[in-house]
Amino acid sequence: MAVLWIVVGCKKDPVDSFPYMKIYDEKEGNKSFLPLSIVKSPVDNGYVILSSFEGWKIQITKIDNEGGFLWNYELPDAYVNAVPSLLIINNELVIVCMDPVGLYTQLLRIDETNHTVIDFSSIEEVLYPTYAHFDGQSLYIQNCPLQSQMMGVHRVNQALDTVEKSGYLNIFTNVDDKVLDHLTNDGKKIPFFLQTTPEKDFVIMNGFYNYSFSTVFLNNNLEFEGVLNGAGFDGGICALQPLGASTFSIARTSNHNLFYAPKVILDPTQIEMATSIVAQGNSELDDEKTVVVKEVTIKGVTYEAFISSTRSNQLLLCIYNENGILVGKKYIGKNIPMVPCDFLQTPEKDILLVLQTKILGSFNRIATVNITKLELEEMLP
Amino acid sequence: MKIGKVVLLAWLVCVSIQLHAQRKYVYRKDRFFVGSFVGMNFTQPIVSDRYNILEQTPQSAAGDFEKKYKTLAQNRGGNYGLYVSFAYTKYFSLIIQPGFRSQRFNYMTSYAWEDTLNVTNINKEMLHRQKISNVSIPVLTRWDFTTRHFSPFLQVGLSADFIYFASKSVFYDTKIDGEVDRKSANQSSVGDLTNHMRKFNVGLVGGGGITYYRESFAMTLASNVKYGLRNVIDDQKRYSDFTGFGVEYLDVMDQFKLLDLDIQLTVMIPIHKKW
Repeated sequence: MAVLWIVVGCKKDPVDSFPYMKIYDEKEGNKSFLPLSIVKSPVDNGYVILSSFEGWKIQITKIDNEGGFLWNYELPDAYVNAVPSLLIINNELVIVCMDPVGLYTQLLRIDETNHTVIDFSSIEEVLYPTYAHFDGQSLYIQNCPLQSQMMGVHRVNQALDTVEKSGYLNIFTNVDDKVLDHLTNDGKKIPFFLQTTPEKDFVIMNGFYNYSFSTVFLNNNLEFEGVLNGAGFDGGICALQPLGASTFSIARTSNHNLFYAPKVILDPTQIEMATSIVAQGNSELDDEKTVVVKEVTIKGVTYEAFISSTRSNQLLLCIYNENGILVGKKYIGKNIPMVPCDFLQTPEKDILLVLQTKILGSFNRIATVNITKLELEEMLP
Repeated sequence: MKIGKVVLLAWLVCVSIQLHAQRKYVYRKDRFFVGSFVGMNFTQPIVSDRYNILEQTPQSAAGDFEKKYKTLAQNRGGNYGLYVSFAYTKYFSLIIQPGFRSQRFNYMTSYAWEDTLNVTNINKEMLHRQKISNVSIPVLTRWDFTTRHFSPFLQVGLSADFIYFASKSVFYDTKIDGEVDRKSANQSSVGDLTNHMRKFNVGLVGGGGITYYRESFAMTLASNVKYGLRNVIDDQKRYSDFTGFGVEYLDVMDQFKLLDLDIQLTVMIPIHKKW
């Protein structure tokens, strides 16, 4: 009996969380979903996923901290083209999207209690929004109005109802087809983004500029300071994480290959070629799919995490240490295409990833994958 | 009339065996018996927690995603190994039966979606067949009711089980009717489930049977029920998808313990204790 008690009765230390993968069902097979962003709910332990479906329509999905479905809400047709960043502003979840007729920017607050959204602001001078970023103090919105051949960056006032400062960048050529395909999710997703450096001395805009897809550094007056020019429209930076002190983690593409530079020093006031940044290529990665780069903490140490798709349809998580050295790799999935869309680190120090996958090999669905703290620790040497 | 004759004949056989047996006693005390056994087993998962990859939403088709497990009789495996016993007294023995055991269990899943382009339904019904191969070392105490040639007995004990390989394959068709014909259905490759399993388990074993003793050998027909005390699936590796079937067949294992019923035939020879 003693042996039995020892073998059966003894339990391992309780674990904080478990790994999981969830795909959120929809009976309408051909309804195509593309997740855009995931954030932790400010009101409970759950997570909110922003996604698009049937082109540029918008859906929000709430899940619990084990990936279980709680509720979802399809926004009315009056709101389309959500930018791929769900924001937390003043402890509330904010969607930046577009009016399908007026084409101007709308700001919606998610009401998690009533499972709906509240339209609280319209910014009519910003047409065709492509990205939004809140740096803790200011909301920045990037846009690319059709026929203008310009990209704009706008700082919104504290009341979130008017633009207080704008900057514009000339493209000098027509990119309307590319932008329309991006907005309606009918073609390649363009890696538009806005970032601010930790010192808040530069705004970084990834978008069209000067006949190329480039990364432009703007000062606090949203004036041009420097640029990393892409190789036309087929090569350039596709993901970037500012680390401070002019140091960045970047992923870039060129010649249909994907390159990682986990730690690189860049001068924001220089004009350079993005493709000349020294970076490590990885031929198994698919340069056409989204790459997500973020800081993660494992065992109290900060690392850079890169998640991307391989050409064989797996996900690949790469962890780099503070010296930019690869210290861990993990493949996720097998056989069925998976495209990463966003990830975050949970309070339990897991990585919660939202991605697009296919059921029956055909229907695009939203999925989440939780990589536990334990799995992350096991990745490290 | 015919049945009456059969019953009478059976009764006569039983009485003659009993009379014959009552005249013969078998010396068992302080004897070793060694032999081997072969048999079959039937396995039933006792599910404690259910898991799905596909999460139901209000937009899901009607129905649930729970696995429908096949019954004990539909989950047949095999076992064979060695048999060693030592009789402390005329009635009481200690038994060790190390052997190989393959357990099988099956379950069904089905899913349906609307194809709005073809205005039709897309159905998928799947039969999931799992096989677990383990080395099993039961240690039993046995109580014989008689010391005669035909000796019924009961036995109880513990079994240490070590899983060394587990696999699964999926058969599927496009008609949801509760049946998947393995001969005509499509089939997946064989996926390796081993790393999804907890490698060690311990089970409570109890059963009974009857042994026919001769001076130079003995034969036993026995049946045991074993209940695994530990969960079979490693919770930390449930979604690791070592098989590659996770998204493709929307498959993830539930948590369960295994109930196992076996029937085995043992042939053994006595060895006198020399020390």
